[in-house]
Amino acid sequence: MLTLLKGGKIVDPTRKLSRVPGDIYMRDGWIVEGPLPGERIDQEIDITGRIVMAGAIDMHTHIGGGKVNIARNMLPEDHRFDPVHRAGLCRSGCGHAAPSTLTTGYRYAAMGYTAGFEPAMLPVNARQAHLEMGDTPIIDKGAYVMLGSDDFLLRLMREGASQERINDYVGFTIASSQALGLKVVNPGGISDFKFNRRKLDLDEAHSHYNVTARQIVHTLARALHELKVPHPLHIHASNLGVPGNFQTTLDTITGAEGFPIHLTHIQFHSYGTEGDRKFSSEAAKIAEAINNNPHVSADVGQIMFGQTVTCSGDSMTQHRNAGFGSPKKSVVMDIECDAGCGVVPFKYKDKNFVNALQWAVGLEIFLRVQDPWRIFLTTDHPNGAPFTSYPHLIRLLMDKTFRNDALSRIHPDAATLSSLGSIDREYTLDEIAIMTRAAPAKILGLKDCGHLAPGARADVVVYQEDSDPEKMFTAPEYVFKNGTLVAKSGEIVAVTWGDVHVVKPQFDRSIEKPLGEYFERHLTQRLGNFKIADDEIRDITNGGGLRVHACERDGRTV
Amino acid sequence: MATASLTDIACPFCGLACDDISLKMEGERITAGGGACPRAQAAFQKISAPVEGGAQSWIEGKPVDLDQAIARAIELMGASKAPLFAGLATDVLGMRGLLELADRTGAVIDHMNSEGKLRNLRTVQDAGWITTTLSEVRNRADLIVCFGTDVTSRFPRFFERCVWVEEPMFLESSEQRKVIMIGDAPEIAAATSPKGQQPEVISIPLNRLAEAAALMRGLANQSLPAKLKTDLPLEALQSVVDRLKAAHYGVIVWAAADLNWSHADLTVQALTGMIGTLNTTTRCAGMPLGGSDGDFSSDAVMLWQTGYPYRTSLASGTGQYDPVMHSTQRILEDNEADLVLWVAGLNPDRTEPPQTQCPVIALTSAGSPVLPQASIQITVATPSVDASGYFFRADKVVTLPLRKAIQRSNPTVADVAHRILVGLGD
Repeated sequence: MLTLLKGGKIVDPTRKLSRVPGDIYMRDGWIVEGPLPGERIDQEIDITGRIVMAGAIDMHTHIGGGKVNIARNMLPEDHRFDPVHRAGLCRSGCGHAAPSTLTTGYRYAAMGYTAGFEPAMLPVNARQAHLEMGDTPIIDKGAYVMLGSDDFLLRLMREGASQERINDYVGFTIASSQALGLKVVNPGGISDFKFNRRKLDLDEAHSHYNVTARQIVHTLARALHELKVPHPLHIHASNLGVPGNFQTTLDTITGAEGFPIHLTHIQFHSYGTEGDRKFSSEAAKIAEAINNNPHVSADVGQIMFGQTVTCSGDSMTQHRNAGFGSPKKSVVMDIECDAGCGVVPFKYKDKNFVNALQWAVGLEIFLRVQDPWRIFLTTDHPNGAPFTSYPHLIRLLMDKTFRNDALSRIHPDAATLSSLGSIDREYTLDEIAIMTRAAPAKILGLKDCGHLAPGARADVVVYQEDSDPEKMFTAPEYVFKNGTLVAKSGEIVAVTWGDVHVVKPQFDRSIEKPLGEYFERHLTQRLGNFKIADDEIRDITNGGGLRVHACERDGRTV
Repeated sequence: MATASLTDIACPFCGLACDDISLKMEGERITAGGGACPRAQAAFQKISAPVEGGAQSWIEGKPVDLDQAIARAIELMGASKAPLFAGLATDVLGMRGLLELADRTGAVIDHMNSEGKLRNLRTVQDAGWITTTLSEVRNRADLIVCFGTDVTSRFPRFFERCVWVEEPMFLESSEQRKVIMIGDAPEIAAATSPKGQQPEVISIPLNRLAEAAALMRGLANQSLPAKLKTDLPLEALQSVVDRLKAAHYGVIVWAAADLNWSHADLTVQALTGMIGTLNTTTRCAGMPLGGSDGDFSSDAVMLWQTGYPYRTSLASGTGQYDPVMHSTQRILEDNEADLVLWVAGLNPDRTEPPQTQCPVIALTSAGSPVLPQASIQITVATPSVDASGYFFRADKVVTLPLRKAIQRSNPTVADVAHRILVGLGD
């Protein structure tokens, strides 16, 4: 089946195409040059004057795994205001802060997103994460598996195991949990919380293992580099939300010693201690550090005002912040000598000084980081806000007047303390395309996503341009997933099942011997049942496939 | 007769889902060994026993072939305006199939264990909690308080696998552990250490346990009136609280199913409130054990697909959660259902459907008796026996793969649901 999208204005930053008039051909799920000699065009859609982009990619969104299900369980009151009825091709579900998986897939697709990546999959909970992602229709999925507070790694580090041995363990964990990348969350802190530690700085030693967060970050960043995993270490740094944590963030950057790193929800890690309330924005310093360190990338984790729920692997931080929850309830878990989690509902308010400043900090970082290839558009769904707020966020970035109007409504002291109002920058459509398509594909190593060149997956979005970017990005006119028209002006017209993206780094399988013994001696499941086979993934994706990306990378950046 | 064996099979017959089971297959007959407890051995044996006469489906108690049973089920489901999907003892894949059918038919969805599970759920929805998982208990707990449960009668290998272990990572020996049981003459044999250290028992009658939990919370957060009068053993409870405060990692274990009195969610809240207070100075966590009869497995799928737990109605075309309105018992007492799809596909000794006037389609595991009250009964494949699947364990974190041990012709729960769905058409 050959489909022609005729006459669109192509925005494809990977090929440096900016509103270039042209045709897109799609055959059997892939973008192709054009018809073969004598080949008939089965379907032609006139999109003259419309903007065409690759499908958007959310590189950090909590869409699967235990903590999201805990959030769903905790918040029937939040679902009740966003019911989704069974209609047409779509099953019933519910939306808002912790939407059902079905609704998640439909809504992402209707918004022009064709892939989303779960950033905090616990190794022991990976099967559940894949089951949930498997029930998320249309979009492609993948996950970064979490290490850094697991006792096996901390034991290896305490024993002074070689980097090669640690690489084997990291490679094993990525492969056996079917992950695309590796995440570290509050390095060592989740584990130390189980030993009654309440705060762990970058250079403080873990109370039991005597290793520091800095060592953990460095070791894991190096492991990924040596395993040639495309996506660098995804770091949720120490001291999330703590005033003055910008210094920790800067130290984390230097601590990686030149190994590529990705700092996640950087907004929550960019706070100073200036002012009467001892809480201030250090967005400028953080942005400067990103600008000056080409091996560092970040996603923002923008907050938006309204009700949401925070789901995090950082049990230490979530326990500390549980008192700020709204409604006031929280779930905190210690998990399987492996990790932890904490779920706390939050209501961010524009008249609350701290929330207002958080909002401004996020936008400042967006606007002060110069390279759109290294800063990513996220709300850390649902932690900063549900992903459905992206069109609004895009407008805040593209429309200075709109942004300054919003700024005038937030807590006045926060507005005064922030330099947001003095920033004139407005994101261009090309820059939005970079940060939501081209750059996430590049940083995740997804060579056939995020662009529209022949050979790419036919994940294509057609927008009616509008002076209001929020309107434009809310309901694109056409969304194609693997060449199938799945959404039309916000309506789902076909339900397909996306693929699972993984990497399979090379490692020495002999690591399974000590691991198998460790599982039998200390844990409560067998190693063989911990590992997730390729066939399992194929079984649970409702017909989606498993896409394995190559582990290859250029030399070290410094 | 062909023989074969499998090792490291996960057992779906209680929430612990022990996965160190070995199975020996002689033809269809399965003998469970390895770590298998007597309950697991009996279940594997019963489900895999050849069926006399070979019947696997019945209409009004009379043997029929599967196609006839499915055809009749389609007729009943097609005529139903208010179906109730109950029981729901199945795994993740079974529940996936059932929910697709429930969405199509506008069913109310409830599980056979909801009443107990709600005691915990209400706590999570009202206040939240701090909990832990099996391997954390195994390696970390220095004080274990079992509240209102002996644990063992519901979770036979809990002490063996999580308490009296050879080498806990963060204790020199598991003998350093202290076990306290608060309850009505709990069975202590399994809670006794290999060297004979018996648990300390604080005897409190069942109907006073709610009070005991409230007292413990009050003692922990020092909110009890100075001149409190009670005939409960306050000093003993104070001593428990003091030792929890002094412990590095105390764990309070309960099984919601055992807290069988009205408003027991308030008892759970008293315990979790105490745990919250204890965590201001030390570490302490709850271990609310559950997961038996697939109650965590099918609930997990409910949550991610609909956003709501059990006791949700899809009748309006979207999920409406109401833990009182949508209980199986209330709906059937008030004659608000016109068809029950009863799913009891795990434990062969727990397949009896609830009393009702309306027709029942029963999907039961092999080894179940023929149910006279069922309009249709279909023997379904059981995961870890003649189907594969996925099972959520007692701590809701670990999801174990269930592997197929033998090949039989029984359809899975998902197969049956799918065939009914297809039969109903658009």
